Order: sequence, then C-alpha cells, then structure tokens
Amino acid sequence: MVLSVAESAFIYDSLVSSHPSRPDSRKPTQYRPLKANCGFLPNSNGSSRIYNPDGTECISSVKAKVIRSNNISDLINVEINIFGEKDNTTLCQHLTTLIKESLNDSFDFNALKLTDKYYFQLYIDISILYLPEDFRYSSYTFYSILSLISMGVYLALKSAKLPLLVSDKKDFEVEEEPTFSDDWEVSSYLIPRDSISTFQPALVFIVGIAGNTVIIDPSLEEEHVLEHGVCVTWSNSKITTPIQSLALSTSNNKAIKPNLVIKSMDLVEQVAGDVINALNTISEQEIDEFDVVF
Amino acid sequence: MSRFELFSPEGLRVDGRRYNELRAFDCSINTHPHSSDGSAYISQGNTKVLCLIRGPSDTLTTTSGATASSADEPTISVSIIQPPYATTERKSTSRTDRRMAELSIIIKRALQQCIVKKNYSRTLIEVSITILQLDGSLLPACINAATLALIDAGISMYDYISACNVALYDTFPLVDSNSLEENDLSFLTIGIIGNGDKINLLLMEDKVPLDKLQKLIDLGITGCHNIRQLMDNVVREIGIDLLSKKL
Amino acid sequence: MPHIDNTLPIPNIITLHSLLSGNPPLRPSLRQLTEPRPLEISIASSTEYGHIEVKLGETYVSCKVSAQITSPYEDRPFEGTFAIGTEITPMCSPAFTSGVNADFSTAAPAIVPATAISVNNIDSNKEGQTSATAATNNINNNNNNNNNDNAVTMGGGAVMGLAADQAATEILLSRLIEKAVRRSNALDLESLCIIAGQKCWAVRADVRFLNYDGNLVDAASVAVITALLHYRKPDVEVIGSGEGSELVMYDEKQREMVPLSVLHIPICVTFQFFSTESVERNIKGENANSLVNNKNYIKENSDNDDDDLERMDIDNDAPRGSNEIIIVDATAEEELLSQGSMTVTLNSNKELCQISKSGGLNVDSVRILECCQIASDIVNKWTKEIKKVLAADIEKRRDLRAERVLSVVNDRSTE
Repeated sequence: MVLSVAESAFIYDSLVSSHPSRPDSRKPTQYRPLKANCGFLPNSNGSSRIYNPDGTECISSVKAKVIRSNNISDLINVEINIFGEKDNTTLCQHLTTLIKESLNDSFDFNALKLTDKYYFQLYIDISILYLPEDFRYSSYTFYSILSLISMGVYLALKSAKLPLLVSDKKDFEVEEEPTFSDDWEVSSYLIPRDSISTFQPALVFIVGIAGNTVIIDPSLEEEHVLEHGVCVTWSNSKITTPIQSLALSTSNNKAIKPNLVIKSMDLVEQVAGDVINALNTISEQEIDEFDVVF
Repeated sequence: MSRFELFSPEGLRVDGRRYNELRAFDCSINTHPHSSDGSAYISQGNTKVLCLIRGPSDTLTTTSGATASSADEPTISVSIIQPPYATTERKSTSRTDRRMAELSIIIKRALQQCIVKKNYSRTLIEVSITILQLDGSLLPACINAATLALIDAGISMYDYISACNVALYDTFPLVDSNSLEENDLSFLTIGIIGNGDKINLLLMEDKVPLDKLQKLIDLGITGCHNIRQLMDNVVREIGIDLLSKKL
Repeated sequence: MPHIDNTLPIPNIITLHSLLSGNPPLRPSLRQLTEPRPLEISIASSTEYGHIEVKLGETYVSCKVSAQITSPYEDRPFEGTFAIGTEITPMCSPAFTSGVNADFSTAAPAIVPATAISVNNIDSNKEGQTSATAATNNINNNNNNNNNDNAVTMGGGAVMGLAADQAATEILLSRLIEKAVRRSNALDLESLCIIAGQKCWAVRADVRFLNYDGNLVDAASVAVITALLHYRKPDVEVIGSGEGSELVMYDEKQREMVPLSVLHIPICVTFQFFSTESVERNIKGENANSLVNNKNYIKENSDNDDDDLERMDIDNDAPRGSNEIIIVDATAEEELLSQGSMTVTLNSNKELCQISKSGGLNVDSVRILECCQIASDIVNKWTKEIKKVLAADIEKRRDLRAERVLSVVNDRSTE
C-alpha cells in the first residue's frame, strides 16, 4: 500500500491530536476483530487457528514428545513458517526467538515434568497461511503478526492435552521408559484449569507510538505513519520481558521517549485482562466435530 | 508385515471399513474469502488439506517473480506446504524436497487438463496447498481440494477432477487407503476428470503384478466417481444457498 | 524452411500431424504405432566394467556405474547406498540449457516451444498450404488465441516433450528412473553391506544424455540397469574381528571382481498420446454410450464444419471407439506434438514396478491396460537383448583372459 503525502499527514495528525482518532475509528485500546478456534487437529496435542478479517491467518500446533533430559532450555521448541518466505530468514529467526524467549520466561516447567528423569518436550509449529499482499513489501510490517502468533500459541497451549502417565513417577532407580494410558478421556490439560496451579503462557502485545499517543494493534495504514513500535510481553498478570522497541515504520526514526514506553505498558495493562479472558473463553469451548473449524 | 491385520478374513480393514468404503469425507469451499480468490478445505478421514487459489491474475505482478506468460494457456503454479506437525511423528519437510516437487508438477499437469485454457491466456493461477494433517491419500486429497478451490475461484473448468488411492492387499483392492495401509501395501493413485472412464492421472510407485492392475483401476474409478459425487453435492448445496440469498 | 530456434520446421509438423490423424494413423518412419526403434546396447570400454552406451534410434545415452566404500546411513546400518544422477545438458540437444534453477513449479519455458499448432484443414493440398501459413504465424507471433473451435489443437502439453518445461522434465525424469530402479529394489542394498553400521558400498549410476531424439526415459532405464548388471566391484575381505578388524580390497589382478546383486530387471516403456479431437470432446464425449452420442454430437457440429467428416469416419471405425492414438517410443518430433505421456515400468516377471501418467490427455482405462500388455512384450524383448549383450561380453572377456583359471561367473545376478 502506498499512501499519498496528504493521506499520511491526515492519519498522523488525527492520531497525535488531543482526542486521537484512528482511521478505522477504533479506540486506542481496541483490537481489530479477530476470530479463533482451537483443538481441531487430532494428530497434535493442541492446535489453534486465529485470523484477522484482512486474511492474515495463523495456524499453530503443539506436539509433545517424551525426552530424557533436564535441560530446561530445550524443552520448548518453536518453528515458524511464513507463507511466501523461505525458512531461516533472519525475520523468521527473530520472530522465533522472541516467541521462544517469552514462553521460556513465563512457563511453569513443572507442567512438563513427567518423572524424575523424563520430561515432555514441546514442539510448537506455527504456519502463517496468508499475509496480505501489502505486507510483503516491507519486512518491518511482519512484526505486526507477532501479536497474532503469540495469541495463536497461547490458544494452542491452552487446548493442549497430555496423556495420563501410568508408570511410576519415581523412576530414579529403575530403568524403564514412561508408559501412558491409551484412554484420552483421562488425559489432562497441559495448563491446568484449576485456579491454583495454573499459569499463563506469555502474550505479546504490539503498541504503536505517534507523538504522545499510544495505540494497540496498529493497522497497516497506521504503521505507515507511526514513529515507533514497542512490543510488550504479558504473562501471569504482569508485564514481563522481553520488552523491545520495534521499527514499525521506516519513515521517521526518532528516538523514543522513556515516558512513552511507560505509557504503552500502561496501555497493555489495561487491555491484557480482557484479551486473556476472551482467549480463555475460546479455549474452553469444546469442539465436537473437528471439521466445523473450516 | 505389520502388527495390524490390514484386511481380516471377514473383509474388514484396520479402521473397520469394507474394501470399497471411503473414509469420512467432508469438504467446504470459500473457507478463506478474504485471503484468496478461491479456497477449499477437504478432509478424508484424518487427512486434512487446505487449498488457496489466487488468480487468474496478471502474470507481471506476481509474488513469485515475473514469469513468462504463455499466449494460449494460463501459467499455473502449484506450491505444497507440509508443516512439520502434519504427520503423527513430527517431521520437517524441506521445501526443496524432490518428492514434493514431483507432486506439485503432477498436480499442475492434472489441473492444466481440466481448466478451459483458452479463457485464461497470459494469466497466472497460483495454487497453494497446505497439508494440515496427513494420514494417507496425500495426492488425491490435494487434487480434490484444488478442484473445489478452482470452482470456488470461478475458474471455468470442463468438469471436476477427482482422485483417490487404491491399495492392493493380496488380491483385494482397498479404496481410499490410510497411512497404515500405504506403509505396508502397494498403492495406486487414480485421477479422473468428469464422470467417464478415461484416466487423467495414474501413479504407482510400488510393485504390483500386472494382472491385478485392472482390479485396482476399476475400483479406483468407482472411488473417483463417488468422491466426485460427494464434492458435487456440497458445491450444489452451497450454490442453492447462495442463490436463495440473492433473491 | 530454416529452423526457428529449436522448434521443428513447419512442414514436418504438418506432415506428422496429418499422418498421425489419418486412418489408419501412420508414423513418418512407417514404424508400427506400438513398435519401438531398434535398441543397440554397447559396452563402452573393453577393460572397465559398468560403462554402457545405449542407442534407441537417434537417442543416445551413456551410463557409468561406480562404487566406493563409505559408512552407511545411521537408520539403515545393514544397507549400502545407491544413487542415480541424471542431468540433462545442452550436449544432447541445444534445446536444453544446463543448470536450470530449481524453481520447478513456476518455471517458465526455457525456449518457447511449438506450444500449440492450429491446423485447420489438412484435407486438400491447397488448404493445407494456407494452414501451414497460419501455423507459421502462430509460431512466429505466438499470440494467436486459438478461439477457432474448428481448430484441431495438438501439442501444448507435450508432457515429456523437450525443453517446454525443462526443470519439470528433469525432476520427473530423475524421479522416474529413481522409482523404476531404486524404489523397486532392483539393486539388493543389503548385499552392499560390508560391516554392519560401519562400512558399506556406495554405488552411483551416472547417466549422461548424449543425443536427444525423444524417449530419454526408456533409454536411460535400459542404460542404468544394464550398467548395474555389467558392473563388477572389487572383492573385499574383512580380516580379523571386533576392534582390530581390517578391510582388505583386492584389485582385479588378485581376485575376480564381484558382480552386484541385481534382483530383477525393471525397464521403462513410455507411451505418447495424441488425439484429433478437442479437449472438451475428450472429456465430455466420453460418457457417450458411446458411438451414438458421439455421432450426434458430430452431426450437430458438422453443419458449420465440413471437415469434421473425416473424424466421423474415424468414429465409425469400431475398434477405435475412443479417439486416442497411442504410440510407443516417440521421436523428438512426435514428443513435440504429444498431448500426454505415460511411463510404465515392468520386469520380465510381469510385475509392474511403477506407472506414471501425470495429466495430459485422458485415456480410457481399457487402453491403459492394453498399453501395459504392449509394454510387457517390449520389456521381454529388451530384457533378452540386454542379456544377450552381457553374455557376449562375458564370453569376450573370458576369451581375453582364457589363461586365468579363477574365472567364476556368478549367474545369480541375471537369473
């Protein structure tokens, strides 16, 4: 998309005015409508599909594998595959690291612990099925899918079920591989649904900054005129790392004011609760038939 | 041989089907109205495939680089993506995998034959297929999904192209094979345009005695016709639905 | 008329087309439709093993087998490795370029081939002349939309045809040979194991296409399998056991070389399909029950189209209820016109190892079964030919080294 000088000036002015207004008349704290469902891939432990009305679509899958290791850092593996992009581009790698680090920080690894020696290893695979044409001309705009990906991963993890262990938990002395119950009825959720032992995988929020205005979930038009972007991670009811500044726009790279970072974190605190509630509601909906998703 | 009895003396297969029974077949079209010109989702048992079609579009403004346009037929580009989670055991497939390359050429050539080529000279039709889940019958599912997506995109075609796999157990042909059967048995992929007996696509990679071929082909043709009927029902249903909304 | 790029001279195409669409269809060389060109197998070197040259008409293919010792794949400790290299270079025909990039799915035609040739009327000489001009225009300008419903369109999807889609051709060709020889277990990989999990033979078959005149696949498959049968690997022996074991390789002078264990002889036979009717009729006309409908269809059309009469005659011909013309072992010219191809791989035990027909003209299942039967006969003929050549060569080499007592011929390989 190419905006004319007048258009971008208009969008910029209305964003920085004392009563900021966004081109699609959203409130600064308002997301674009999103649709999602989860648990539709019978071959995966957990899965989710989340999509924007503009067609951006993210399918995530969580698969668990039993490994004998206690090296926490390789328990979670993330792989991102973007439509039309080659694997292992710096962009894919950057997105992968961001997601992986945010998860590692927020994850309760006790949920993955099977026995004294064995752990579940999680493979989180994400495919971005489609990106609007305009996205492909600028690699910066790719970061705007970061938030979508993190929500997809959240849903997939929330819907992930693990089989019931039937062998002994204390296998420090014995040489045996863990065995599981064949019955999926007795499987348990990876992230417990009771209120005590539960935890929240990290969510990443993208905040756009223009003048003194901070807005959540900037659209493509807004990204063209924004001065800055900040990605803020939220998990377990508080803001956590990584917090990064993102170059959302190439147009005018001014330095970022510290108070704006604080302001964007406040913004995230305002919306995060609602987002988590909405996602939880979706993940708790049972899907009777796999194919209704499409 | 495998731990499973692939075909019991009573005539039942591992998943309890008879030899000529298809797996649960489900499909829908126009699943991604915003991100593509035509889209379809198909599920044959546990094989689930998404197909998005973009085009016909100008050949110059493609994402995959400018391609020479042909004066009397569309340029069809087919890409197949098999994400690592598609198989039961997680497995990464490289994008330069020769088998995938072969599959996409085969799909491209099969589609070329059923599109009314002269209507789309100097255009590009991009077909991108995502395999969400794989449990045998990969090529047939891709082709069936592509047909439906082409219909959804409104591209003129002579008829449906439908495909199905037939495996051979001893002397019994088994239609619409799943991955357990395909691991242990020889199988044949058949693709048919329309409702006739003429074969558009025939692919077999394992050994089969020559005298068994006819049985396999015969059952395959019936299977293709059944699948075509199932797809046609869905398309017509959606068509009636659309018409009723217009009035 | 001079050659335009690498397309055929126009008169040839017209001739070829009219011959093939005649009744009965004829080939320019007056070969039978189902008769392959003579196969000539020669052993390239009188001292070396496993270097074979195969001539199928003017198509000329050479294959060399080599082996070296490596370590096996981790997941297959009891098996050796086998790889086949096929690369099409400009050597065989200037129509091919070397080092085509691998973006197969969108690959543009390397050279604009004779994509579609409209031949309107080929009944009379005079009209034939005009149509030749039309065809010339079509090729030269290549912007003539074939909207003319009367036009008989040929070519286009030359499936295995020339450089139309070289990247795709290369991939399909290498996969075909791979499936025909490797996947069908023609070479017993377990016999290549020397020490399980540590040492094994890695066998390579490299195919070079020396001249292209159609049907590279069949020639290549014969070349590969003959070269494998002919190849002798040096004898090796493991001395000692456990950690201190040593591998000793004996050269030709010390010990008789060992043939590879080839379990069966798969041979590819490629068919090309032609049709004089339009794609639409090929698809729609088929559920015609059958001739009656077909005829009606033609009559409706023939009001404004006189030259359909010729096709009607064909339809009246009972044995050719469906209109496809099937030929075996096509030349380059014929491949250019082809609307579809199918490669069948068989061995002499009447086992199908591989079939591949991707797209192209739709062909009746009955005809396909017929094709397999024809292929089976050709395979038997060619298998005999291969065995004859190999036996003659063994004799020759034995004569050369008549003084050697050790001579042992391991007949297991060729049944």
